Amino acid sequence: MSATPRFRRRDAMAAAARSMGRAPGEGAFGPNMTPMVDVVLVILVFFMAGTAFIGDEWFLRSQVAPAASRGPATQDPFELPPTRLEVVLDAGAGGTLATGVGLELAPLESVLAALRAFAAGTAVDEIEVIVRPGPTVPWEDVVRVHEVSAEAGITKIAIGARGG
Amino acid sequence: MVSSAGSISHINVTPMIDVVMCLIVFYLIVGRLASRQLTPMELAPSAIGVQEQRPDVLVVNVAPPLGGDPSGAARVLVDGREIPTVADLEALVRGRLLEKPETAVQVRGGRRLAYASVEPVLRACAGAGARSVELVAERITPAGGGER
Repeated sequence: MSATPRFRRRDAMAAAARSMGRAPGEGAFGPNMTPMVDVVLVILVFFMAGTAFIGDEWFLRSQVAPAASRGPATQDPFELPPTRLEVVLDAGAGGTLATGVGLELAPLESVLAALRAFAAGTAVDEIEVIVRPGPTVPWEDVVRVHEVSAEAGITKIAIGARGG
Repeated sequence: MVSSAGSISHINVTPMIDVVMCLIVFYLIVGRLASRQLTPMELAPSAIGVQEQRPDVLVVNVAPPLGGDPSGAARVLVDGREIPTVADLEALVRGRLLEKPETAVQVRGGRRLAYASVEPVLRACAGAGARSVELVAERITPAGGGER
């Protein structure tokens, strides 16, 4: 057995209490943690609630184009008009079919792949995409065209009416 | 401050601050709940989009018919209130834009809704003078995309 006296927490507390003018065992020792714990809990609840309310939603900007919106985009006769891509969507038996970017009534994903490839080789600022969905096309496919266009860096995206 | 008798002579404000902070958080949460404009529905997914908090936003919800009846008409709701006709919606959007021209119009459409259900809403927004609309989508993990 070692004869060396061991350092004990009780001794340290007693020494600290004596240095604070208190008898050993009287009063509390150490910083008061209660306010800090209170504040930390409130902050925790605040951020938990804040995160829950923000939600996992975001949005894609779109313009509402008039039907058959072809026409001169500029008054300057020497300025080239923007490249306008029309993606016409129709409901098919096996999913939505799309016409545009050189394809006709092709599966939507094929046209979107062609759109991506086209955008990769062109200045995206000069591209306008107009989506013209049929009445029975699911809304998620309209959003999908917006998503792929935005991914390709195209910012001018519009939804247009069919016909006219 | 400790007096000569050894007692604390000032008021302990810590409990008061705790209570006040709890009240602030409580009213913040209740306020957000009260102004909740979103109708629960399944949104179209998107791996890219913009997420920003803006003061003036008008959320137009185009929700599937109640009970999932596929033959039923989609419901258009603004601030939790159902808008019966397209003309009413157009008037509402126009009024909001006149009041606050910088208002952003967001369209939350159910992912499986046919475009014919959403088109009148878009037309109403355009007719009311909204230059653009924001299509609300469910945020999914980007596969190389991100915020734009």
